[in-house]
Amino acid sequence: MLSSLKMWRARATSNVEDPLYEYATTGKVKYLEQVIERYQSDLFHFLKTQTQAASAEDICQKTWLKVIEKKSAYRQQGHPKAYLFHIARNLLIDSIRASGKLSELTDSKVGMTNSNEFTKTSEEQWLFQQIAALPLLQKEALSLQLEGFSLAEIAQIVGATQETVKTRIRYAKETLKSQVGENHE
Amino acid sequence: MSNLDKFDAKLKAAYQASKQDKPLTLTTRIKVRLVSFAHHFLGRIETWQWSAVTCSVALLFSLWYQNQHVDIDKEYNSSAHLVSYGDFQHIETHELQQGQYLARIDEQKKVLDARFEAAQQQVQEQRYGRLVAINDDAWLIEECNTHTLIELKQSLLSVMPQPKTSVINFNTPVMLALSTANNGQIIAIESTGQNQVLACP
Repeated sequence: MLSSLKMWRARATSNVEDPLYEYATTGKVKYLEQVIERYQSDLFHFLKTQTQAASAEDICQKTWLKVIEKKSAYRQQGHPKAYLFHIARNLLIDSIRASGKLSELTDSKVGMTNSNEFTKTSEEQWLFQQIAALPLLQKEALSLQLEGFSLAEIAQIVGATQETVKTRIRYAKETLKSQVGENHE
Repeated sequence: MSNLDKFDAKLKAAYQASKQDKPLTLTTRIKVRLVSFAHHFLGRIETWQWSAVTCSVALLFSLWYQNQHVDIDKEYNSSAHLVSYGDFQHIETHELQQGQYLARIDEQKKVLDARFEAAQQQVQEQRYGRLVAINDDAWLIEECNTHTLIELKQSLLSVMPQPKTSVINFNTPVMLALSTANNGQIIAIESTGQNQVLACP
Protein backbone atom coordinates (compact mmCIF):
# COMPACT_ATOMS: atom_id res chain seq x y z
CA MET A 1 0.00 0.00 0.00
CA LEU A 2 2.74 2.41 1.05
CA SER A 3 4.90 1.47 -1.91
CA SER A 4 1.96 1.99 -4.28
CA LEU A 5 1.41 5.41 -2.82
CA LYS A 6 5.08 6.20 -3.21
CA MET A 7 5.00 5.06 -6.83
CA TRP A 8 1.91 7.11 -7.51
CA ARG A 9 3.54 10.12 -5.88
CA ALA A 10 6.71 9.58 -7.89
CA ARG A 11 4.75 9.38 -11.12
CA ALA A 12 2.77 12.48 -10.24
CA THR A 13 5.87 14.48 -9.42
CA SER A 14 8.24 13.09 -12.03
CA ASN A 15 10.31 16.10 -12.91
CA VAL A 16 10.29 17.53 -16.38
CA GLU A 17 12.88 19.98 -17.62
CA ASP A 18 10.61 23.00 -17.70
CA PRO A 19 7.40 22.31 -15.74
CA LEU A 20 6.29 25.89 -16.29
CA TYR A 21 6.30 25.35 -20.05
CA GLU A 22 4.45 22.05 -19.59
CA TYR A 23 1.89 23.81 -17.42
CA ALA A 24 1.51 26.61 -19.97
CA THR A 25 0.91 24.17 -22.82
CA THR A 26 -1.11 21.42 -21.10
CA GLY A 27 -2.71 23.28 -18.20
CA LYS A 28 -2.25 20.22 -16.00
CA VAL A 29 -2.13 20.97 -12.32
CA LYS A 30 0.65 18.45 -11.66
CA TYR A 31 3.06 20.71 -13.54
CA LEU A 32 1.93 23.68 -11.48
CA GLU A 33 2.70 21.60 -8.41
CA GLN A 34 6.19 20.97 -9.75
CA VAL A 35 6.81 24.64 -10.51
CA ILE A 36 5.77 25.62 -7.00
CA GLU A 37 7.82 22.85 -5.43
CA ARG A 38 10.93 23.72 -7.40
CA TYR A 39 10.98 27.50 -7.13
CA GLN A 40 8.89 28.47 -4.13
CA SER A 41 11.72 28.42 -1.62
CA ASP A 42 14.11 30.55 -3.73
CA LEU A 43 11.36 32.97 -4.64
CA PHE A 44 10.24 33.44 -1.06
CA HIS A 45 13.78 33.96 0.18
CA PHE A 46 14.51 36.53 -2.51
CA LEU A 47 11.34 38.44 -1.63
CA LYS A 48 12.06 38.19 2.09
CA THR A 49 15.45 39.71 1.50
CA GLN A 50 13.78 42.68 -0.19
CA THR A 51 10.85 43.28 2.17
CA GLN A 52 9.08 42.17 5.35
CA ALA A 53 8.30 38.46 5.75
CA ALA A 54 4.51 38.96 5.72
CA SER A 55 4.69 41.10 2.62
CA ALA A 56 7.05 38.58 0.99
CA GLU A 57 4.55 35.80 1.66
CA ASP A 58 1.76 37.85 0.14
CA ILE A 59 3.76 38.72 -2.98
CA CYS A 60 4.87 35.12 -3.31
CA GLN A 61 1.24 34.01 -3.34
CA LYS A 62 0.30 36.71 -5.83
CA THR A 63 3.14 35.57 -8.07
CA TRP A 64 1.65 32.08 -8.33
CA LEU A 65 -1.79 33.47 -9.01
CA LYS A 66 -0.30 35.63 -11.75
CA VAL A 67 1.46 32.60 -13.21
CA ILE A 68 -1.86 30.73 -13.32
CA GLU A 69 -3.71 33.64 -14.88
CA LYS A 70 -1.06 34.43 -17.46
CA LYS A 71 0.20 30.93 -18.14
CA SER A 72 -0.51 31.20 -21.84
CA ALA A 73 1.82 34.22 -21.99
CA TYR A 74 4.84 32.15 -20.99
CA ARG A 75 7.25 31.30 -23.76
CA GLN A 76 10.40 29.26 -23.42
CA GLN A 77 12.74 32.21 -23.90
CA GLY A 78 15.20 31.87 -21.09
CA HIS A 79 15.06 30.28 -17.69
CA PRO A 80 11.61 29.76 -16.13
CA LYS A 81 13.05 30.88 -12.81
CA ALA A 82 13.94 34.25 -14.37
CA TYR A 83 10.37 34.56 -15.66
CA LEU A 84 8.99 33.89 -12.16
CA PHE A 85 11.38 36.34 -10.52
CA HIS A 86 10.46 38.96 -13.10
CA ILE A 87 6.79 38.63 -12.16
CA ALA A 88 7.62 38.67 -8.46
CA ARG A 89 9.85 41.69 -8.83
CA ASN A 90 7.11 43.66 -10.62
CA LEU A 91 4.64 42.75 -7.90
CA LEU A 92 7.20 43.82 -5.29
CA ILE A 93 7.62 47.23 -6.93
CA ASP A 94 3.82 47.59 -7.16
CA SER A 95 3.56 46.73 -3.48
CA ILE A 96 6.19 49.28 -2.51
CA ARG A 97 4.48 51.94 -4.62
CA ALA A 98 1.09 51.11 -3.13
CA SER A 99 2.45 51.36 0.39
CA GLY A 100 3.82 54.81 -0.37
CA LYS A 101 7.42 53.88 0.42
CA LEU A 102 8.77 55.18 -2.85
CA SER A 103 11.90 56.36 -1.09
CA GLU A 104 12.98 52.72 -0.85
CA LEU A 105 13.33 52.68 -4.61
CA THR A 106 15.51 55.77 -4.83
CA ASP A 107 17.15 56.25 -1.47
CA SER A 108 20.81 55.37 -1.73
CA LYS A 109 21.49 55.60 1.98
CA VAL A 110 22.63 52.37 3.54
CA GLY A 111 20.85 51.37 6.73
CA MET A 112 23.51 49.20 8.27
CA THR A 113 22.71 47.23 11.37
CA ASN A 114 24.49 47.79 14.62
CA SER A 115 28.00 46.50 14.26
CA ASN A 116 27.93 45.21 17.83
CA GLU A 117 25.60 42.48 16.67
CA PHE A 118 28.54 40.94 14.87
CA THR A 119 29.72 39.55 18.16
CA LYS A 120 26.36 38.10 19.02
CA THR A 121 25.51 36.35 15.79
CA SER A 122 27.54 34.31 13.38
CA GLU A 123 29.45 36.07 10.63
CA GLU A 124 27.12 34.64 7.96
CA GLN A 125 24.05 35.92 9.70
CA TRP A 126 25.62 39.31 10.22
CA LEU A 127 26.64 39.47 6.56
CA PHE A 128 23.13 38.61 5.45
CA GLN A 129 21.77 41.36 7.67
CA GLN A 130 24.11 43.79 5.92
CA ILE A 131 22.82 42.60 2.53
CA ALA A 132 19.24 43.06 3.68
CA ALA A 133 20.06 46.59 4.78
CA LEU A 134 21.34 47.69 1.35
CA PRO A 135 19.28 50.09 -0.80
CA LEU A 136 16.58 48.18 -2.66
CA LEU A 137 17.95 48.38 -6.20
CA GLN A 138 21.44 47.33 -5.12
CA LYS A 139 20.05 44.68 -2.85
CA GLU A 140 17.84 43.11 -5.50
CA ALA A 141 20.65 43.07 -8.08
CA LEU A 142 23.04 41.46 -5.60
CA SER A 143 20.40 38.99 -4.33
CA LEU A 144 19.64 37.89 -7.86
CA GLN A 145 23.30 37.33 -8.53
CA LEU A 146 23.64 35.33 -5.33
CA GLU A 147 20.57 33.40 -6.45
CA GLY A 148 22.58 32.29 -9.46
CA PHE A 149 21.30 34.49 -12.26
CA SER A 150 23.63 35.84 -14.95
CA LEU A 151 23.97 39.57 -15.60
CA ALA A 152 21.78 39.25 -18.69
CA GLU A 153 19.06 37.48 -16.72
CA ILE A 154 19.21 40.03 -13.91
CA ALA A 155 18.94 42.83 -16.46
CA GLN A 156 15.87 41.13 -17.92
CA ILE A 157 14.28 40.62 -14.50
CA VAL A 158 14.76 44.17 -13.23
CA GLY A 159 14.23 45.82 -16.62
CA ALA A 160 17.56 47.62 -16.73
CA THR A 161 20.70 47.43 -18.85
CA GLN A 162 23.49 45.05 -17.96
CA GLU A 163 25.80 47.99 -17.29
CA THR A 164 23.36 49.45 -14.78
CA VAL A 165 23.03 46.09 -13.07
CA LYS A 166 26.78 45.67 -12.96
CA THR A 167 27.15 49.12 -11.37
CA ARG A 168 24.50 48.37 -8.73
CA ILE A 169 26.22 45.12 -7.81
CA ARG A 170 29.60 46.81 -7.63
CA TYR A 171 28.26 49.54 -5.33
CA ALA A 172 26.60 46.91 -3.15
CA LYS A 173 29.76 44.87 -2.79
CA GLU A 174 31.89 47.94 -2.08
CA THR A 175 29.54 48.96 0.66
CA LEU A 176 29.53 45.50 2.18
CA LYS A 177 33.30 45.23 1.97
CA SER A 178 33.74 48.49 3.80
CA GLN A 179 31.32 47.27 6.48
CA VAL A 180 33.21 44.01 6.86
CA GLY A 181 36.51 45.95 7.02
CA GLU A 182 35.14 48.21 9.74
CA ASN A 183 34.02 45.24 11.81
CA HIS A 184 37.32 43.44 11.49
CA GLU A 185 39.32 46.48 12.61
CA MET B 1 41.38 32.21 -5.03
CA SER B 2 41.54 36.05 -5.19
CA ASN B 3 40.17 38.26 -2.44
CA LEU B 4 37.24 39.23 -4.66
CA ASP B 5 36.28 35.63 -5.29
CA LYS B 6 36.58 34.88 -1.58
CA PHE B 7 34.30 37.75 -0.73
CA ASP B 8 31.76 36.64 -3.35
CA ALA B 9 31.86 33.14 -1.91
CA LYS B 10 31.27 34.55 1.58
CA LEU B 11 28.29 36.54 0.35
CA LYS B 12 26.85 33.53 -1.42
CA ALA B 13 27.35 31.35 1.64
CA ALA B 14 25.66 33.96 3.84
CA TYR B 15 22.73 34.22 1.43
CA GLN B 16 22.30 30.44 1.14
CA ALA B 17 22.72 29.90 4.89
CA SER B 18 19.93 32.37 5.52
CA LYS B 19 17.75 30.47 3.06
CA GLN B 20 18.43 27.22 4.91
CA ASP B 21 17.94 28.79 8.34
CA LYS B 22 14.54 30.25 7.62
CA PRO B 23 12.69 27.98 5.21
CA LEU B 24 9.02 28.36 4.43
CA THR B 25 6.80 27.03 7.17
CA LEU B 26 4.63 24.02 6.45
CA THR B 27 1.51 26.12 6.97
CA THR B 28 2.65 28.61 4.38
CA ARG B 29 3.51 25.87 1.92
CA ILE B 30 0.08 24.28 2.31
CA LYS B 31 -1.66 27.64 2.11
CA VAL B 32 0.18 28.59 -1.08
CA ARG B 33 -0.77 25.29 -2.70
CA LEU B 34 -4.39 25.43 -1.64
CA VAL B 35 -4.87 28.97 -2.86
CA SER B 36 -3.04 28.25 -6.10
CA PHE B 37 -4.96 25.08 -6.85
CA ALA B 38 -8.26 26.73 -6.03
CA HIS B 39 -7.36 29.55 -8.39
CA HIS B 40 -6.27 27.05 -11.01
CA PHE B 41 -9.63 25.26 -11.02
CA LEU B 42 -12.10 28.01 -10.14
CA GLY B 43 -10.29 30.74 -12.01
CA ARG B 44 -11.11 28.98 -15.25
CA ILE B 45 -14.77 29.81 -14.90
CA GLU B 46 -14.96 33.24 -16.45
CA THR B 47 -17.52 35.84 -15.46
CA TRP B 48 -19.55 35.38 -18.64
CA GLN B 49 -19.75 31.65 -17.93
CA TRP B 50 -21.11 32.32 -14.44
CA SER B 51 -23.66 34.68 -16.01
CA ALA B 52 -24.67 32.08 -18.59
CA VAL B 53 -25.19 29.42 -15.94
CA THR B 54 -27.23 31.78 -13.75
CA CYS B 55 -29.43 32.85 -16.65
CA SER B 56 -29.99 29.23 -17.71
CA VAL B 57 -31.08 28.25 -14.22
CA ALA B 58 -33.41 31.24 -14.05
CA LEU B 59 -34.90 30.33 -17.45
CA LEU B 60 -35.45 26.71 -16.45
CA PHE B 61 -37.12 27.77 -13.22
CA SER B 62 -39.34 30.17 -15.12
CA LEU B 63 -40.44 27.44 -17.57
CA TRP B 64 -41.08 25.01 -14.73
CA TYR B 65 -43.11 27.60 -12.86
CA GLN B 66 -45.21 28.37 -15.94
CA ASN B 67 -46.00 24.69 -16.40
CA GLN B 68 -47.08 24.46 -12.80
CA HIS B 69 -49.37 27.43 -13.35
CA VAL B 70 -51.00 25.84 -16.42
CA ASP B 71 -51.72 22.66 -14.48
CA ILE B 72 -53.38 24.62 -11.72
CA ASP B 73 -55.52 26.40 -14.32
CA LYS B 74 -56.63 23.10 -15.81
CA GLU B 75 -57.58 21.79 -12.45
CA TYR B 76 -59.45 24.94 -11.65
CA ASN B 77 -61.42 24.83 -14.92
CA SER B 78 -62.35 21.19 -14.49
CA SER B 79 -63.87 21.93 -11.11
CA ALA B 80 -66.31 24.26 -12.83
CA HIS B 81 -68.36 21.26 -14.05
CA LEU B 82 -71.65 20.54 -12.38
CA VAL B 83 -70.59 17.04 -11.42
CA SER B 84 -66.96 16.74 -10.50
CA TYR B 85 -65.26 13.35 -10.60
CA GLY B 86 -62.91 14.62 -7.91
CA ASP B 87 -65.76 14.81 -5.41
CA PHE B 88 -66.02 11.01 -5.30
CA GLN B 89 -63.74 8.46 -3.77
CA HIS B 90 -64.69 5.78 -6.29
CA ILE B 91 -65.66 6.03 -9.92
CA GLU B 92 -67.13 3.00 -11.64
CA THR B 93 -67.94 2.77 -15.31
CA HIS B 94 -70.31 0.01 -16.47
CA GLU B 95 -70.82 -0.62 -20.16
CA LEU B 96 -71.25 -3.25 -22.80
CA GLN B 97 -68.56 -3.57 -25.40
CA GLN B 98 -69.28 -6.02 -28.21
CA GLY B 99 -71.74 -7.80 -26.00
CA GLN B 100 -69.28 -8.04 -23.11
CA TYR B 101 -70.17 -6.46 -19.81
CA LEU B 102 -67.30 -4.25 -18.65
CA ALA B 103 -66.96 -2.56 -15.34
CA ARG B 104 -63.98 -0.30 -14.81
CA ILE B 105 -63.08 0.97 -11.44
CA ASP B 106 -60.56 3.74 -11.12
CA GLU B 107 -57.33 1.89 -10.34
CA GLN B 108 -55.81 4.55 -8.13
CA LYS B 109 -58.91 4.78 -5.99
CA LYS B 110 -59.08 1.07 -5.84
CA VAL B 111 -55.54 0.79 -4.46
CA LEU B 112 -55.92 3.61 -1.99
CA ASP B 113 -59.22 2.50 -0.52
CA ALA B 114 -58.66 0.05 2.28
CA ARG B 115 -62.37 -0.53 2.51
CA PHE B 116 -62.62 -2.06 -0.90
CA GLU B 117 -63.74 -5.41 0.30
CA ALA B 118 -66.56 -3.92 2.33
CA ALA B 119 -67.72 -2.00 -0.70
CA GLN B 120 -67.61 -5.14 -2.80
CA GLN B 121 -69.83 -6.91 -0.34
CA GLN B 122 -72.24 -4.03 -0.55
CA VAL B 123 -72.30 -4.26 -4.32
CA GLN B 124 -73.87 -7.69 -4.05
CA GLU B 125 -76.78 -6.30 -2.12
CA GLN B 126 -79.37 -3.83 -3.28
CA ARG B 127 -77.80 -0.50 -4.05
CA TYR B 128 -79.48 2.88 -3.87
CA GLY B 129 -78.46 6.08 -5.44
CA ARG B 130 -79.57 9.49 -6.57
CA LEU B 131 -79.67 10.27 -10.25
CA VAL B 132 -77.59 13.41 -10.66
CA ALA B 133 -77.25 13.77 -14.41
CA ILE B 134 -78.22 12.23 -17.71
CA ASN B 135 -75.69 12.73 -20.47
CA ASP B 136 -75.94 11.70 -24.08
CA ASP B 137 -74.19 8.43 -23.45
CA ALA B 138 -74.55 7.72 -19.73
CA TRP B 139 -76.48 8.16 -16.52
CA LEU B 140 -74.57 9.45 -13.50
CA ILE B 141 -75.81 8.08 -10.21
CA GLU B 142 -74.48 9.13 -6.83
CA GLU B 143 -74.66 6.03 -4.66
CA CYS B 144 -75.94 6.44 -1.14
CA ASN B 145 -73.42 6.57 1.72
CA THR B 146 -70.45 5.35 -0.28
CA HIS B 147 -69.20 8.49 -2.08
CA THR B 148 -69.31 6.53 -5.30
CA LEU B 149 -70.33 7.89 -8.66
CA ILE B 150 -71.84 5.19 -10.83
CA GLU B 151 -71.73 5.90 -14.52
CA LEU B 152 -74.09 3.69 -16.50
CA LYS B 153 -73.40 3.79 -20.20
CA GLN B 154 -76.18 3.74 -22.75
CA SER B 155 -74.93 0.42 -24.06
CA LEU B 156 -75.96 -1.14 -20.76
CA LEU B 157 -79.02 1.01 -20.16
CA SER B 158 -80.47 -0.01 -23.47
CA VAL B 159 -80.66 -3.66 -22.43
CA MET B 160 -81.93 -3.35 -18.89
CA PRO B 161 -85.24 -2.32 -17.30
CA GLN B 162 -85.17 1.30 -16.31
CA PRO B 163 -87.53 4.20 -15.61
CA LYS B 164 -88.46 6.35 -18.55
CA THR B 165 -86.50 9.55 -18.68
CA SER B 166 -89.57 11.47 -19.78
CA VAL B 167 -91.14 11.04 -16.34
CA ILE B 168 -88.05 12.08 -14.41
CA ASN B 169 -88.30 15.48 -12.78
CA PHE B 170 -84.98 16.87 -11.54
CA ASN B 171 -86.70 19.47 -9.31
CA THR B 172 -86.96 16.76 -6.67
CA PRO B 173 -84.31 14.13 -5.90
CA VAL B 174 -84.65 11.07 -8.12
CA MET B 175 -83.80 8.02 -6.03
CA LEU B 176 -83.02 4.81 -7.87
CA ALA B 177 -82.63 1.22 -6.73
CA LEU B 178 -80.00 -0.75 -8.58
CA SER B 179 -80.48 -4.47 -8.73
CA THR B 180 -77.28 -6.41 -8.88
CA ALA B 181 -76.36 -9.96 -9.69
CA ASN B 182 -74.14 -12.07 -7.42
CA ASN B 183 -71.06 -11.07 -9.34
CA GLY B 184 -71.77 -7.34 -8.82
CA GLN B 185 -73.13 -6.63 -12.28
CA ILE B 186 -76.01 -4.15 -12.36
CA ILE B 187 -78.93 -5.81 -14.05
CA ALA B 188 -81.86 -3.45 -13.49
CA ILE B 189 -82.74 0.05 -12.37
CA GLU B 190 -85.96 0.77 -10.56
CA SER B 191 -87.35 4.05 -9.48
CA THR B 192 -88.11 4.04 -5.77
CA GLY B 193 -90.86 6.53 -6.43
CA GLN B 194 -90.30 10.21 -6.57
CA ASN B 195 -93.04 10.87 -4.04
CA GLN B 196 -92.12 8.08 -1.63
CA VAL B 197 -88.38 8.08 -0.96
CA LEU B 198 -86.46 11.34 -1.22
CA ALA B 199 -83.33 10.48 0.69
CA CYS B 200 -80.92 7.62 0.99
CA PRO B 201 -82.23 4.81 3.12
